[in-house]
Amino acid sequence: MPNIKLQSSDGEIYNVDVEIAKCSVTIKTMLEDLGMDEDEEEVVPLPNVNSAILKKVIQWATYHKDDPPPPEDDENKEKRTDDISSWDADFLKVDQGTLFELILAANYLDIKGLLDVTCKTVANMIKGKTPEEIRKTFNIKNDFSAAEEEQVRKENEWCEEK
Amino acid sequence: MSDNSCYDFVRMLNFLPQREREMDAHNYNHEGDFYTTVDGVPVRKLFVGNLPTDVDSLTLHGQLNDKLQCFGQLREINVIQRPEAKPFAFVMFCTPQDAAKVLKITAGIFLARRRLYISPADSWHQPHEMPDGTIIWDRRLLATLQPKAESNSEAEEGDNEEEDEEEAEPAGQQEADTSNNEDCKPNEEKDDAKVEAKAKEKQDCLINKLNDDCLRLIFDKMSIPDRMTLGSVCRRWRALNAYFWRSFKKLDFTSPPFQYVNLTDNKLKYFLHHCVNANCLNIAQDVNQLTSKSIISIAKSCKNLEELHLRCIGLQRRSLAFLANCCPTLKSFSVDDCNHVFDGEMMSLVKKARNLESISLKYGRKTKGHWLAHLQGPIHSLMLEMYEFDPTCLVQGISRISSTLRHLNLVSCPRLRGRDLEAIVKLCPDLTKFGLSGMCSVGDLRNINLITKLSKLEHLDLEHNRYINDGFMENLVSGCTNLKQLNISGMDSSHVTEKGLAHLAKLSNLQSLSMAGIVAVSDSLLKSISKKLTKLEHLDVTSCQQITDEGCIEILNNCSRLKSFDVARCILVTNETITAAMNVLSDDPARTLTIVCGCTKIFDEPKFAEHDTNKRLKLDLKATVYSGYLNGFTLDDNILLDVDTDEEDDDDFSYDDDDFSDPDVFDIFDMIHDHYEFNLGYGYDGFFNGEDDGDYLHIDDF
Repeated sequence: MPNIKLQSSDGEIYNVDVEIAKCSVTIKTMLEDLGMDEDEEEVVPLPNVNSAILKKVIQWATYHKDDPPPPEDDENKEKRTDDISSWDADFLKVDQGTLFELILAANYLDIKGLLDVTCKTVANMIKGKTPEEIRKTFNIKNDFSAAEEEQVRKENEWCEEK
Repeated sequence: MSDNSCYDFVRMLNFLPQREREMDAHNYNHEGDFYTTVDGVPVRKLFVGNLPTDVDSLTLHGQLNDKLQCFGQLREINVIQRPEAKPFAFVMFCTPQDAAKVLKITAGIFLARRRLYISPADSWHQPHEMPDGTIIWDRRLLATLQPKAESNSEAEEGDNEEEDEEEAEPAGQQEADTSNNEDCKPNEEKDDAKVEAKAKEKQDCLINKLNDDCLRLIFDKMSIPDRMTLGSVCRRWRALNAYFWRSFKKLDFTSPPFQYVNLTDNKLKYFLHHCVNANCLNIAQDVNQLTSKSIISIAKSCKNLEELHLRCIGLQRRSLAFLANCCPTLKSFSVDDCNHVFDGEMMSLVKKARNLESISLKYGRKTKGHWLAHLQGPIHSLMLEMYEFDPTCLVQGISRISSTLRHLNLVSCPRLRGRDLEAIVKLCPDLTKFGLSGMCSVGDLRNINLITKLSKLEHLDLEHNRYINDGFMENLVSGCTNLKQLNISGMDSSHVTEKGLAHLAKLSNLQSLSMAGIVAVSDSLLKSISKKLTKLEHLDVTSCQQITDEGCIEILNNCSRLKSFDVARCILVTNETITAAMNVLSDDPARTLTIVCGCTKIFDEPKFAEHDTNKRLKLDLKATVYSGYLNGFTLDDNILLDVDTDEEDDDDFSYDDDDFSDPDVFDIFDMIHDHYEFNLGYGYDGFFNGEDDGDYLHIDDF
């Protein structure tokens, strides 16, 4: 089975089955467009992904290598975030920093499935919370000016009506 | 710069699509003599697009340098060219003030006669400014600084972010100075969990390190009610959310994604306030708490409103006049449950809304419909359902709009008389859609035959119309040869026989045919029409209980364009029909088919799911009775108009409460209501024993 070498930002090199690596559209296009020969011992540099994250991404892609392609987004479909498989849920039991880096990596590598499930995980952390609870969860600073704060407060009153 | 090509590559990949880039163009703030991004980062780096395509990057680099150096000292120009996209560049100035000078040039900056598209680069492209003013030009270095800073200050308790950064700064500056031309190699993540725990302690906001793209993707996973809180979290989230709201042209609170919002006046105000581009509004939720205030908010907020769909809303006096004045572009107005939409209101609407093309009112039992006499162009589409209007007014109104009126649907309007129909047909020979379903007492059979004079008809809905017989069917096929959609469901079977229905075979353009509940529909009929109606896409034979697999198989085999086939409650139909459907589908890999088959002998077998056509064959096991009525003919699919009834009464348009307390009157309406929902296909005669419906309903009392 042909392999490909992926190099993380901190220089570590991982040997990965080409088919697994190709779940990243970025890598897939690179291989196709740039005509990288699969036999050659070429190293693909991934300067946006560090080794810890790359390792996780490869782990995810290996587990999901036989998945059917994810369905196209349907605007009218109801948004669901509770359909995360138990394997993915376990896999994503990580700290916030890692989770966000996984999102960035999935976005950069263009891995739709991983991006989807990581974004859903974060969305679940936000869901149903008040703005103050959200700020607390993510250590977000309330940077509204007094006037903006007033507007926001008014809107919240509008929305709170049952 | 050529110093690190991998960095360029990274930027290419992070580059947003042009559309979003344009939206971001307004995504910055003006702070004195310079600009900041939404996150408050001073803008030093600019995105430059619309570059000439026919020169190489080195030339572009030189040209940009020549053009822009007059504004101030340039730190870096990065031209990005790739084969599949237009070239673009990032230009970094040493000071945000110089960058601001470029952004303020409104006349445009031209290169090779192209007007350059210049906008601030997003926050994560901008160099990082330390609290003491030191600038880390290369943002990638920040990643390497942060862990160091943490290890430096590990011993200290409770230090905040600013201190943190100050500590990091000497090391950072050093690195920034020395490593400018080196490849970016962030420090190894030593111990993710530990760093993270530390970061949390230090109030580090990790989520806002995500770029806008990723943050948007997360937000896009949220339901609408959840999204409503996002804008209250911080400025950046609010700005991102604002784009989302602005992307809506149509706000439909009866379907996803908005259907789970329990609308109130104030919530609607929130949406109107944020979705500034919405010009199409459907607030006809079954249950809502909207009051007449909402009409006023809509009129004030949506100056470009084109479609409005309401349901049972109370109207303050003059509110529709106000709406028509504020929203001159209003094209379509529809109200379900329009009991509280009074004549005076409608009158001012039709007089003032000069662009109104489509009106739809349902369930108005309390008005006289005098406004109908004042209809004026360019009304194109008119639908009145269970609306107790005075037919003389309708005819008078139609005579005023006959040149534009093309779609007319009168559903269960019991006061309509034969001579009214005659007048309408005479006035509007060009109608393309016509509906006369339900308990219309058009008088005698001669009058119903007038419909067949409408030679341009494409859609005809005569559901539950009990005046149809074999002779009418014969006239119909010779008069209305362009018919594409025909609904004759539920008519009284004693008047029409298989012989009459057989004429349908001549309507060769027919795409949709509903014959639900007609006892005379038989296998031999299906056989004979299936050979002629080759364009048929939808066929509804719900509750036609004579039908067996034989007829269904003929239809499946001969009507090669069939997409939906409703055989619910055809109790003799079995799985053989499904097998035939699968065979048909395997012959044509492009075809899909939905079969509604509740209350038949069809049951789901595992083999259906295993079959390779299973994704293209959808079995709907619901006993959807009379889907034809609900999905079939509406005046205009685009009608969006809904009004909510409020408890309050308008003094000037009050009605007699006795009408409501009259149990006879009310029961009948409730029965009719039920009948629509649970129609078993026996027409209205079961409820109205052939008497004049008008008398039966005491219409004059209204």
